[in-house]
Amino acid sequence: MVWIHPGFIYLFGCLLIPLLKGKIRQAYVILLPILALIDLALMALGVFGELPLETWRIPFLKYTLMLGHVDNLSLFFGFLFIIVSLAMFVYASHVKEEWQHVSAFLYIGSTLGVVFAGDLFTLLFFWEVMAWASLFLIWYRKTEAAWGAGFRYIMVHSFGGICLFAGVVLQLKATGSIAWGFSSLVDPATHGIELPGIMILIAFMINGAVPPLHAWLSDAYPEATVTGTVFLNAFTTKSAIYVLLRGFTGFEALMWLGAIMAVYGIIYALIVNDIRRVLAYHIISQGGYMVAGIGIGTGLAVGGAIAHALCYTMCKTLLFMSAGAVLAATGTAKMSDLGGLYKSMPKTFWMWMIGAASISGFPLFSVFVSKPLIIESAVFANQPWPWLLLEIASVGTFLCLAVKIPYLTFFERDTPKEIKAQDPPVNMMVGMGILAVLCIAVAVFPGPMYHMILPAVEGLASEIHTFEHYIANPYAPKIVVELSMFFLFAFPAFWWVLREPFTHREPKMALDLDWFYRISGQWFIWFCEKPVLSFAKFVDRLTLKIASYFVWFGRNPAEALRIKGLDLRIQLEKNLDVTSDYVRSYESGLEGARQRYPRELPRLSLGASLLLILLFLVVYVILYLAGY
Amino acid sequence: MVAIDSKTLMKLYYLALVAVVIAGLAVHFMGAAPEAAEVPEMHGEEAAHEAAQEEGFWWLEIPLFAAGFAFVGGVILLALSKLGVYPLIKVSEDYYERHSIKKREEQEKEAGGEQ
Repeated sequence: MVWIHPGFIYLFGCLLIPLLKGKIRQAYVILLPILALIDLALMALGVFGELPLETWRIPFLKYTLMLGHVDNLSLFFGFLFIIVSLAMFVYASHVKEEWQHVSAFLYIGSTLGVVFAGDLFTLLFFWEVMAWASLFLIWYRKTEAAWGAGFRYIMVHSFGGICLFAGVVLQLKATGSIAWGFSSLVDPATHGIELPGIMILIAFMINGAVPPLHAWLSDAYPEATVTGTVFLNAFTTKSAIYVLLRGFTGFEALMWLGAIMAVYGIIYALIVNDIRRVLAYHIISQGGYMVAGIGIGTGLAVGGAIAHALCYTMCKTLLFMSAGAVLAATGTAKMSDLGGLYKSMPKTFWMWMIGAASISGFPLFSVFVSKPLIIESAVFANQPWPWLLLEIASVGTFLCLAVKIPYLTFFERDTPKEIKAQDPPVNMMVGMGILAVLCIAVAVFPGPMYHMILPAVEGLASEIHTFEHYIANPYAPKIVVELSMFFLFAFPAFWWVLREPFTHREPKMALDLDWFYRISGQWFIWFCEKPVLSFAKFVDRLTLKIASYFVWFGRNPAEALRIKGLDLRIQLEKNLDVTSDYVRSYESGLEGARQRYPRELPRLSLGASLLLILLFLVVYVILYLAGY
Repeated sequence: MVAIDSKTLMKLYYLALVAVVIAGLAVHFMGAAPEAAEVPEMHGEEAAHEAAQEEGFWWLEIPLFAAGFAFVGGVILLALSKLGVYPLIKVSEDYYERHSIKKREEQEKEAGGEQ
C-alpha cells in the first residue's frame, strides 16, 4: 500500500474548501482530519511497513529530500496534532470565512510536514510555510491591533527562518549532509553544540517562545480571531518542542532556560488582564516544563516532556476554546469588563474547569500523568533550583487558571449590564466536549500513551529505566496525596491572603520585552523615513543637477566654456572692485551668450579634426608609456 | 444548572483539607511504597540509581512539606507578581498608540492645520 503524507491531506485537501458551501463545507473540514487520522492509524498498525519508515524521497539539486521520515516520535506527535486539530475543526466549523479554514489547514499541514521531515531542506521549507500560513489567522481578525501584531509576528518568525537557513547552510558545509532527525546536534563527548547547531537552536527557541525570544507569542496570539487563537496555541510551540527533542535532547542550558521560562510565563499570566493573553503567557510557562525536560535529558524527563506535549496541548486548547467562547459571547476577553458569567454560561464554565483541573495536574486529569514526571526528573538529576522553579510555576498555574480566572470571570460580581452572554453554539460545545473527554481519558488510562512514548524515549534519552519505573505506577499513593495536598494548601494563598489585590480590575497592560523592538522599531522606521530618505532625496537632486549640467555642457562645449569663463571673470572683478562699466559690459555679453546658447556648433575642417584626433592619441600614448 | 452554595463548598474544602493531611501523614510515616510486583525488576546500576533517587532532596523528607511549600510558595508568587512586578510594568492599554511616532506626527499636522 502506498504511503500518503498526512500533512498533504491537509495541504491539498484545503484547496476544495473555497468551492464548498454551508453544511457540506462544515462536514468537509471535519472529514479531512478524520482521513489524516485513519492514515496515521494505518501507519501505526504497520500497513505501510515497519517503523522507522523512510519514504517520499525526491531528488533536489544534488541532494535527496525525504518528506516521510516516520518513527515512534514523529508518529506520536502526528497523532497529537491530528487529534487536536479534529476537535479544533469541529469547534471552528461554523466559521463562514473559507480562507480562514484554508489558512488553518495550510498551517497544520505544514506542521505535519515539519514532523515528518527527514532532511533539513524539507524542514526549512515547511517551517517557513507554517509561519506564513499562521499569519493569516491573526490578520483575519481585521483590527488595527491584529494587523500590527501580525506584522511583528512575521518579522520575528522571518528572523527565526533566517537563523534556521543559516544553520542549515553551515551544517551542510560542515558535514556535507542535509540529514535531519536521525541524531542529536549535541556533541555526546562535550555536551556542547557547534555554530550550525547554535543557529538552528535559536530558530527553534524563537518558535518555542523561549525567553528572551518569546514576546511575539503573547503579543500576537490574543489578537487573532476567536478560532485562530485556538489553532495557533497548539502547533508552532509544540512543533518547536518536537524539533528540540530531535536535535537537542540533553543540552543542559535548556534545563535552565526551561525552568526560568516556567516562572517567567506564570508571573505574567497572573497579572495580565486579557484572558487569552493569560493563556498565551501560560503557553510560555508550560513550554518551560518541556524545554527543561529536554535539557535534563534522562528517560523520565524526556518521557515526561513528550507526554506533557500531548496532555498539556489538549487541556490548553480546551482552555483557549472556553476563552474563545467567552470572547464570542461577550465581545471581550478582558477580566476588567467581565464577571458573573456562570449564570449565563455554565457549560463554558465547566469546560474551563476541566481544562484548568487538567492543566494544574489534578489526579485523574491529563497533566497529572505528565508534568510530575518532569518535576520528579529534576529531583533524580539532583537539580534543586530547576526543581524549585518548576514547582513554584506549578503552584502559579493552579492559582491562576483554576482559581483566579474562574473566580473573576464567572463569579465575584454580577455581569456588567451591557453584556448579554450565553453558551456557544453546538459545534463549539462539541469541540470542547471532545477535548474534555480526552483530558480525563488520557489520565485515567495513561498506559497506551506511555507505551507509545517508551520506544521514542529509548531512541533519545539516557537512563530509560527511570521512565519505565515511573510509568509502572503513576498513581502511587505518595504522588496522589502530595499533589492533592499541594492544591488544597495553595488555594488559601489566594483566597485568604492575596485575593483582594487581584479583585482590583484595572484595564491595564503589562510591558514585556517586545517593548524594545516595538519602540526601537518605530524609531528605526522614523530614521529610515526621515533622515535617510531626506539624504537620498538630496543625493537624487544633486545627481540630476550634475547630469543636466553635463547635458547642457555637451550641446556646445566651446561656447559653454566661454560662458563659464565670462561668469568667472565677472565674479572675480566684482570681488576686486573693478569699475562697474567693465563689469556691466561683461554682464551684458554674458547675458547675450546665455540667450544664444548653444548656438551653431563650430565646424572644423577635416584636417583640423584629424589634427585634434592625433593630438589626443599622442597624449594618450605618452600617458600610457609613462605608466599612468 | 448546578447550584453552587459557597458555604457547603467551604465545608467540603475543610473536610478535604483534614483528609489530605491525615493521608499525607499516613503515606509519610507508613512509607506507602508502590507494589513490588508492578514495578520492573532492577539490577546493578539501575538499583543503585534507584536507591539514590529514593533519597531525593532532604527537605522532601519533611512531613507535609508539600502543604507548606504550596502555601508559602503561592503567597510569595502572588505577592511577587501582583505587588512586586505589576506596579513596575503596568501601563495604560493605549500605551503603544500614545508612543506611536506616526500618530504623534499626524496629530501635530492636524493641530497645525487647525491653527
